[in-house]
Amino acid sequence: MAGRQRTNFLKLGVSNILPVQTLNFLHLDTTKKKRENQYAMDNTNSLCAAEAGQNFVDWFYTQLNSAKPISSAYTTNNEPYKSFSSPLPSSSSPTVGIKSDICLNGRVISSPEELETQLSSSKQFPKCPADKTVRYAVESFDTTVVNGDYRVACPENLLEIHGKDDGVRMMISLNVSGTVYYGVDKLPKENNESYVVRKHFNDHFLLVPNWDVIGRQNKNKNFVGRRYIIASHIHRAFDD
Amino acid sequence: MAPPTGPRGGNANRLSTRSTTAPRAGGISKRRNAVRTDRDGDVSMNGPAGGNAPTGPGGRGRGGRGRGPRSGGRSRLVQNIRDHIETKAIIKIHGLKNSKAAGNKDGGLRGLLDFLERKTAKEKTIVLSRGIIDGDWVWIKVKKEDAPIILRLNGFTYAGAPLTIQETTEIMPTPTAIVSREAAETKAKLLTVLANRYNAEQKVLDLSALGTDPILGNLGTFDSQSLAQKSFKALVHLVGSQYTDPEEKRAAIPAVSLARNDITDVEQVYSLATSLPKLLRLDLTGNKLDNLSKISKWKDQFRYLQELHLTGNPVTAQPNYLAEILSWFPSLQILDGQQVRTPAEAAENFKSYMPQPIPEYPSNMRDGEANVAASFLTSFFDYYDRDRSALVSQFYDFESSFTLISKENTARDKSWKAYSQYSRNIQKLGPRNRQTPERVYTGSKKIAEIWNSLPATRHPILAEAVTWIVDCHTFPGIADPNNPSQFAMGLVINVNGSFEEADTTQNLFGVRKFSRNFILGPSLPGAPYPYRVISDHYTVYGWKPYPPGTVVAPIAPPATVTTTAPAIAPVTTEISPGAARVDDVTKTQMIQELSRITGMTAEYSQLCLSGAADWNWEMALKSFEETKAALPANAFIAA
Repeated sequence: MAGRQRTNFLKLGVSNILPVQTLNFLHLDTTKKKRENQYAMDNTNSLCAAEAGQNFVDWFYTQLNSAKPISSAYTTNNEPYKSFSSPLPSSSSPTVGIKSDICLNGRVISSPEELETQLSSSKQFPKCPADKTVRYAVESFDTTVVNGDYRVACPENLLEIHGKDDGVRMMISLNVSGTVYYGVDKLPKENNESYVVRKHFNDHFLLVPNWDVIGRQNKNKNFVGRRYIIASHIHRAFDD
Repeated sequence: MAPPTGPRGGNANRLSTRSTTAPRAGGISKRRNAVRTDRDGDVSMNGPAGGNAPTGPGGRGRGGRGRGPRSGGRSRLVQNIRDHIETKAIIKIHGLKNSKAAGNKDGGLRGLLDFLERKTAKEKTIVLSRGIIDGDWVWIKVKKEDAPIILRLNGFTYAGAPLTIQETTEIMPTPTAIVSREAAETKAKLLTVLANRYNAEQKVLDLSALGTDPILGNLGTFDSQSLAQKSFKALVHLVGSQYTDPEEKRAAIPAVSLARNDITDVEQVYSLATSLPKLLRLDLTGNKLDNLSKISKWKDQFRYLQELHLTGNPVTAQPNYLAEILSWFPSLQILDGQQVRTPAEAAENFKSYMPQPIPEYPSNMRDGEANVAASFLTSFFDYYDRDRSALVSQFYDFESSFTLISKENTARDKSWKAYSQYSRNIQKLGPRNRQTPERVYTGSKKIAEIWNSLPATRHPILAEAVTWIVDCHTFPGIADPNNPSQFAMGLVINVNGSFEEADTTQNLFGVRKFSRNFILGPSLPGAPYPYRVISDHYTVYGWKPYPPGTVVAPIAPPATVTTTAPAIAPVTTEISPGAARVDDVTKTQMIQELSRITGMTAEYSQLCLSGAADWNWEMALKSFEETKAALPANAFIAA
């Protein structure tokens, strides 16, 4: 069992995420490497979650800062989650579709598209020069694995391939905080401090696997796509 | 050995090869076989005379700069030091300023040195290299043995002025020191100009008609256009640098007048926008701005400018003058003495130029019917302050994980010392850092250990909704330890707030801000509560000491040893998160939402919310359910 899992982990699970060096030492069989190997095995979920968090944070805030769409990153718009139908523990009737839960500064947002509208309405300043936009500067983030055995909407074949310690079928809790500047294109310098409204922001995401992309990357590791998408997003920006 | 050297046209004859760049008349001597010299033109005694022909243009083909003989291998630094302590004498000469030569390009310096060389030539060939003019004095450096010869010239008349020559032990000034001293003098003069022109009563900086200013005139500022621009820049820069705090600057200089300065393009005075970006009133009356494009460089600047005067500029006759100016300065209310916007219009217009922050709403708690989040948080922070070990044993088990981020991740600042050793900021560490997985602390024992090493805290009570922001909701997909094949509902709670902190090891007392995120899920059989903490993430940032004079009740350190785990009484009192923070916008939103959910009219929705519920969403829904049957038909929106 363990042998099979490890093969899978090497072949499929981590190869897309972990750096080549890591994989190299996983293959080598010297005593020292063995120890590191063990260490890496124990922390596969944690390592993969950190890597996934970094990728997500890099992508998400780049999109926000350049006013590009983010709605595709929510489960609401993801096919396996959209068509998922199963009775949830708390309700008796089957629920169709797993929607992302989005809460923007204390207000529940019905859809990712609505979120985009809300975010861009804060940027609708037609007369403002294009470079004086909203900028999120991430100062810290952190990930933890909430559930290494995530199964919601998971296709049968992936459930077989990826074990619960392979760092793939994970629900990840991601905390991001930093500063958001309303009114500049870059971090404020002394001279344009006058146009900046600063707020501290705190974002919490629950990330879940993007089954489609993971499936396709198993077949073709060069396939480009986000491996994790947003099941829950809580945003707060307030005065520091 | 001395390196091969470049050409030195007749450098054997030192007298005739001055280090000046222009060829000088007279003194051309017969070219002889060059004595071999090193790269500084010093004679190398043992080289074969004339044996090395010049080999192309060398970088320093200016031999004979008159430095004393020195051996080839010694470093320049050593030589300089030797000059000072052993062989060189410093001589001060007065009188050049009064001579006719003072009007020469170099202030007559070269002429004076030539004069001295000529007069001493009979006795000894002395080469005088660089001299420095500093005010009324000329400074030169000569070999010690040559000093008496030059001093003998004291009292000679040079170009109609008597010379005073004296040896001194003072340190010869360097060229840069002279420049910076001159700059300081200019700065002082410019500051005087500013002081004269600042009206402290009306808070107006009057930079009008700078061309007629006597001090600036003496400085020669307006001789040329570029010099005038530079001095304006210097003036404006000085204004900006007088205040370190931008708010203070804004309050001190709300108005500037640049009237009657012959400005043809605002580019000439552009720096005003960067030095005083929050200017409220600007007077450009009587300048020579003839085209809107001459002002357009200032658009997107001066967003707070309320009053602008351009009267007397040709540009005011342009057809689209008013419209363009209005669109460039969003807050403008008065143009050339005419009101063009009301203050309210200006404020509204200003908004459209600036991205606006997302509106903030109070806590959003969707934690199901049992109010799990409210009761959990109330217990949590109460016990976190008092007894962390007991808290861990209540809500955490061997699978719970805890992570911490200290925003200032430097142990050098002691207000962060207690936290930074645990900090897991992946943005800083990087996902592949060994510490990234190591700093996920799993298991109640480890978590309690870390918590007990953190400073003592005191959180405000949760009912004081002003200081807390709590958002939470349930979500599917948590592993159910009791039924591995199923998944259960989890609860995510995001808390933002602050607490008082007593760090007794560093003797620091103050207030710290934090964000804390909990993921709650079903607990194992036999646990004190049906739910447990699966993931606890803690971000601390923004520490501030208490303001001076604050009287603070001492914070008791949390108990570190718990003999018996005290049962936490189930929290029955319902807290009403956010009740104190409901503003009108939120109320409107709540009314609409309630109306949408219940089908009641806005009027009845408002009644329902503002009644016993007191703008508590859960309470309002509850009271609606209770009174639904009794409501009249007109309470609902007709289908």
